[in-house]
Order: sequence, then C-alpha cells, then structure tokens
Amino acid sequence: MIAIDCLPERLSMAEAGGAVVVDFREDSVIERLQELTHGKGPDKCIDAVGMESHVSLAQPDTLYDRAEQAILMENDRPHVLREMIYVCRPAGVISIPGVYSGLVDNMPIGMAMNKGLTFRMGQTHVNRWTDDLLSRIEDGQIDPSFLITHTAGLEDGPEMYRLFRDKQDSCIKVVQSLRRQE
Amino acid sequence: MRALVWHGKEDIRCDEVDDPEIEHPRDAIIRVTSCAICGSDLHLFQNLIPAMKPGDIMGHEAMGEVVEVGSGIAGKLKKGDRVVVPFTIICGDCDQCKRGNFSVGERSNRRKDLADKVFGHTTAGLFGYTHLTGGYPGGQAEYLRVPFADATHIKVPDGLSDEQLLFLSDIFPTGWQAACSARSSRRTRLRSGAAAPTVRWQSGAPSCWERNR
Repeated sequence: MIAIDCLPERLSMAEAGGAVVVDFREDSVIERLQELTHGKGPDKCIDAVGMESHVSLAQPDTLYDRAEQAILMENDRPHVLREMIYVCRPAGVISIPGVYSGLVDNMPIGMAMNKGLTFRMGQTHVNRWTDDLLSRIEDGQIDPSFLITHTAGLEDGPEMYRLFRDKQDSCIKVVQSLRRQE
Repeated sequence: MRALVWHGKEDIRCDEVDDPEIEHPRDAIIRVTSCAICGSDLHLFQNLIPAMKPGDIMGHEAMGEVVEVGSGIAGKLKKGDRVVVPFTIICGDCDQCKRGNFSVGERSNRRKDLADKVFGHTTAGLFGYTHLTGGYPGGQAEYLRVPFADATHIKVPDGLSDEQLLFLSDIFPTGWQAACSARSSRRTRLRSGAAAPTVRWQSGAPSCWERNR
C-alpha cells in the first residue's frame, strides 16, 4: 500500500497505518512508484482526491485546470486521474471515490484504453457495507475515531470550515458535538 | 433550531432556522448528537458545484436519536432509537435499491427532473449536497428530517461512542467501497473461477460484497 499526499499530518497517519508514503512535493510520484513496484506500476489505484487536486508549478496541467475551473470551462481538476492512468500497470484497476462533479478536459482515454484499464467509480452505496462495518467496530477490529483531529460545537462551524479548508492546525477531520447542550 | 447554512462562496453561517417537521408518512426526525464536516463539503464551501442555493443547510455525516416518526414507518424505527444517517437517501424498494446500488436509487431524489437533465438519469437524493441531489436539508443542524427513514438509517447500539460510529455515515464505507472496487480485478475474477462470479460482478455487486454477506 502506497499513500501519496503533501500534508505531513496525513502522511504520518498513513505511515502509522502501515503504508509506504510519498510526498509529492519532495519526490517525483512517477519515479517513486516505478522504484517501489520494480518498474511494473501499481496494479490498483484509488483516486481519493477528486475535483480539487493540489495546484503546483511543478505540474503544469494543474495550473491549466485551475484556470479552466475559474472560468467555468471545466468543473473538476483531474490531475490525479491523469497521473493514475499514466502510472497504473496495464490491465490494472482505477477506483474513483472522487468526488467529481462534471466535465474534465484532456483526459488520456487512449492511454487508458490501450493499457486495458478497468474503471470503477461512484458515490458510496452506504447501506451495502454498514452491517459488516458496524460489526467490525463492535468487535474492536477498527475504531474509526482515530481520524478526528478537531472536536467543536455547531456554532464553531463557520470557523471550522475555514480551518479545514486551509489545513491549519494539522486539521484532518472535524466532528461537531451537539451533546454538550443537554 | 440552529444549523450551518450556506449563503454563498466561502460564506457558511450558524443561523437560527425553522425546526424540520414530518412531511411524509415515511419521514422521521432525528435529534443530531454529532455531525462531521466532509472533504466534499469543502467543494460546496468553494462553490465548485453550482447547484446550491442560499439558505441550504449543510452536512451529510450525522447521527443522533429518533424523536419523531411518521405514520408509515411500520415499526422499523421508533422514538428513542439511536441511528447513524447514511448520506445517501434510499427508498429500499426501487430496482436499484433492490440490487444494492443505493447511491443511484431511482426514487429518493425529489429533483429528478434536474438530475435527469444533467446526468441523463437521476441518482439518489443526498443530504445537504446541492439541488442536483434533491436539495435536502443536511445534518449540520440540531434536527434532521430523514426521508424514507424506514430504509435510510443504520441502527447502532448503546455502549459505543458517537466518535466510533459517526463515520459509518460516509467516509468509512466510502474508503471500504473504494478498496473493494479496486480489488475486483481480472486476477480476482480468475481466481474465483467460472462464469458465476463474472456475471455477479457485471450485475454490479463486487465479489467482496458477496463475501461479506
């Protein structure tokens, strides 16, 4: 399992969970993936970034997407999707929880087609999984609360949106508790 | 009640709004005990999905206690039940719900006209996630009206904390589904052998879901 990100707090969380981490601000994602997979490329890629991928001078396509999005010529910034199609091992699978909203430009569909990639995507069929996942929480196999970095009240919401958007204070996940008013 | 209300780009406020009421026999009202802000809420905060309206209540990760049920719930949910609310609103009896394809349910989006036009087909109604998915008030609020509440809920036991359970509403099953989807590769299908798993896979049910059942 290889996790790619640029936020130190999320990279450490992924590393603590057993992932090999790649900081795309420090390393070339393509080169690191080549090394880590002995030149084969990852078999399965998950795009958990979606429409607001990071904009960086080092990745010219992200600048193009940002400009297109600003003038409503493109809804999403699909840098991660393009990169996955490039790095994914032929006959591999691309899984897209996203979120994406509409039109994207410059999608290398010829690359994807010739490599024989499988795309699977969608909003979550939540209740398909929850009986099983609830029993895993009850059994103590997993406690998803490890994600929470900030707990606040409902009235703190506006400030928490800003904090989370700006990734200040190592914010990964905000939970608002309404129990304190009882 | 108080709720986080969308007013425009980068403008979400904690406002006093009307309490929700039962509007349909299959509705329930939940008193929210915990809710979370999702990464996808930030897309709305940035106004990148142009289908929000000022006054819309945010939030699709919520849980709480049932305080009122409609007359059509048929004993499936009662006052006092502790529930996590899935972000996808499901009717439970359309063709897609019967196949377990809950996020593309055919009946829960009350703006089906809009979704049909934009996506070619309607997808499920979602809480607090634009008028393309029904314009339903979300769960970053003191109370939440849950449509089709007899199907749209996950009953959870006492004895576990809100923090342990809340992410069943979205991000835990979302990560899980993403991983299961990636697992349904050619190798998996060959290992399962024969035609049956392939047919099952094509019908939209990933093999790991079948294993979990």
